[in-house]
Amino acid sequence: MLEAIGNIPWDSLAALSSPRILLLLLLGVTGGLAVGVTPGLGPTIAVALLIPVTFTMPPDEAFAILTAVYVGGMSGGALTAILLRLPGTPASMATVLDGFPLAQRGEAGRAIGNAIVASFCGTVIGALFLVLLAPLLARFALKFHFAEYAAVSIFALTSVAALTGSSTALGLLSAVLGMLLATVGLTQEDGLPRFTFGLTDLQAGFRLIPALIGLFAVSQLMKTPIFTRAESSHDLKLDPGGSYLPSARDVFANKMNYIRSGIIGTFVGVIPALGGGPAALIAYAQARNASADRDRFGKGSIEGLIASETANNATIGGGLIIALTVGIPGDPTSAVLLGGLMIHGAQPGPQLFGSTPEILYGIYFSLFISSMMMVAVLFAVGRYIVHVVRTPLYALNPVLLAMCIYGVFSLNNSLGDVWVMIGFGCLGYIMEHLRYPLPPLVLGLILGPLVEGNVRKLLGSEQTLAPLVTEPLALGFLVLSVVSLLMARRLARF
Amino acid sequence: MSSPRSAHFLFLSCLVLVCAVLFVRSFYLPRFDWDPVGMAFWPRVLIAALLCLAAWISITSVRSPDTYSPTRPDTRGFRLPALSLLYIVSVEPIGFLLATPPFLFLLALGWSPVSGRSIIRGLAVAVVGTFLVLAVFQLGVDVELPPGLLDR
Repeated sequence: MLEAIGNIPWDSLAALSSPRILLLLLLGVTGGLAVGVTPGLGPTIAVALLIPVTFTMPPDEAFAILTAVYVGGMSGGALTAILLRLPGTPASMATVLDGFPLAQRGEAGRAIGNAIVASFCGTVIGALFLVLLAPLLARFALKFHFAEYAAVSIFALTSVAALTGSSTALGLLSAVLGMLLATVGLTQEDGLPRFTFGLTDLQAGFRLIPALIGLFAVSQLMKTPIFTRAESSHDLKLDPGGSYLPSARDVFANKMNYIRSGIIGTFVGVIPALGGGPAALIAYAQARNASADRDRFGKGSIEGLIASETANNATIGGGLIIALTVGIPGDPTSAVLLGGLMIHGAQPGPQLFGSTPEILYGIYFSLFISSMMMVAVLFAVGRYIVHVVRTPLYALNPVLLAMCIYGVFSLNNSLGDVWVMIGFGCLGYIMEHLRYPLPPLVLGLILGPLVEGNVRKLLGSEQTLAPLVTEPLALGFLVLSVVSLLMARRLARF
Repeated sequence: MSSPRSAHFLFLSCLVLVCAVLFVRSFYLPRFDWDPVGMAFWPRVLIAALLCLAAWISITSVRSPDTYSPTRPDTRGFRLPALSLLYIVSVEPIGFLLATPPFLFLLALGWSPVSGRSIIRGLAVAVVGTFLVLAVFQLGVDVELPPGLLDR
């Protein structure tokens, strides 16, 4: 660790504090935030849109602005998740659970303030791991083979199903339903259609973003029925005197929560294909498990909000660790970012530490400064953004729905995705009324193909599922899954 | 759906029906010699798990009705997806610029408190909303919105 600090090329890093690069970082964070708050658009699109703009930039400037957009895009989703129950990306899904109830209670400012600080802490924890333990964590990630992938996915699903919502049985059914819905479309292993009923639009399966926006945003809009002849009113209250700075009590009471969620986010981030959504939900479930006030979770708990935001931002550092040291992107945004960095001369691999450390540490410092800029920008504009809840319902809801429709349409220029969004909106509306938690369903959609693919590959290569219990890492995750279920049983939530 | 409990049973019955359809369809999926389990294996595992959980939840809610405390979904909530589907069907042939303002106008009217100013408010939302979507998606991120009739 000390060797890592000693290797930091301080001279080249001083160049990063030039006014031009600081300005680019500020622009990148602001632009990323603007894209992040738009439904359907997230950090992946923000980074992808920016790559052509960076072609003529020197590498240090390009790395700086690309990283800043990544940080801004990740944080932007939190604002809409809290204020509008609209998670732009899976990473913000757990933020909705407590952020929106806080806004409904008139504590939108407090929720945003805590989310900002948690995002900052998460990014910094992930970045610290990136600079200090990257080779070690990359070796950990490379231990993941078929059995480990299947086991960690099962652990994520069971822990979230067991510890979110009001009942474990409802959570498990929600997770299994999500995995079953994920079997629709072309299978990854065979490349053949399954359960598409001859419909071309279903060949790509149920895409995640339309499902996510449908489940959370459309179902929320449906809760205020149109043409009821009654005067529609806002669910949200606004406390005009409320502070946007989190109180010292909120921050200090959650110091272990920040650390635990940051570590979970970083470790989940280094495992390719998991990403911010599962990380935030695992951290959320663990925060609930560790909390003395478990009943408040899902009804406006600051602890839940902090766990989610810290973990999803920590995955930035975790994702970059595996992307830069091994060349395997942890999530789609890391994949696009990696492409952009490679265009500017970064060659991922272990040699990055020895041959061109200035690139690695440049990215790390950009990440660190970007997260500080993000805090400054959000505190500056948060006061105004929070007033979106004052917009009358008849003006806000139609525009929001139109933005959701075209945000989803813009993903593939396909109205089929919009049908999927509306369908999932109805499903989410019904399931919420029947008390089924929605996060396990989304997690099932994300992790279902991962579990299936790895179980089938395991059976194909080993002819047995025994490695699930003979490999120590896989066994460890399965034991944790059982512990989660037993814990739920102990809490009489089954 | 007369009561929350019957709504819950209706939902579980629909799930069982979907499982039955998918289970039957799984027999039509191809299987290759090199694949030890085939592409029907995983869905069947999930269908079995889903049926077990549905049975458990049904039995538990019959034995102790207050276990899950569901609420009955308000069927008026489905007016919004119905109107949205009508819009989605019409937007491709008619076009974004012609279909969106009436859609937003109707939505604004639907969510507006009943008053004499509803129509003016609705018109304002229709114009501003359409321009906003156009600015963000067509001008901002270069998405080609359905041109419809205006393309001819």
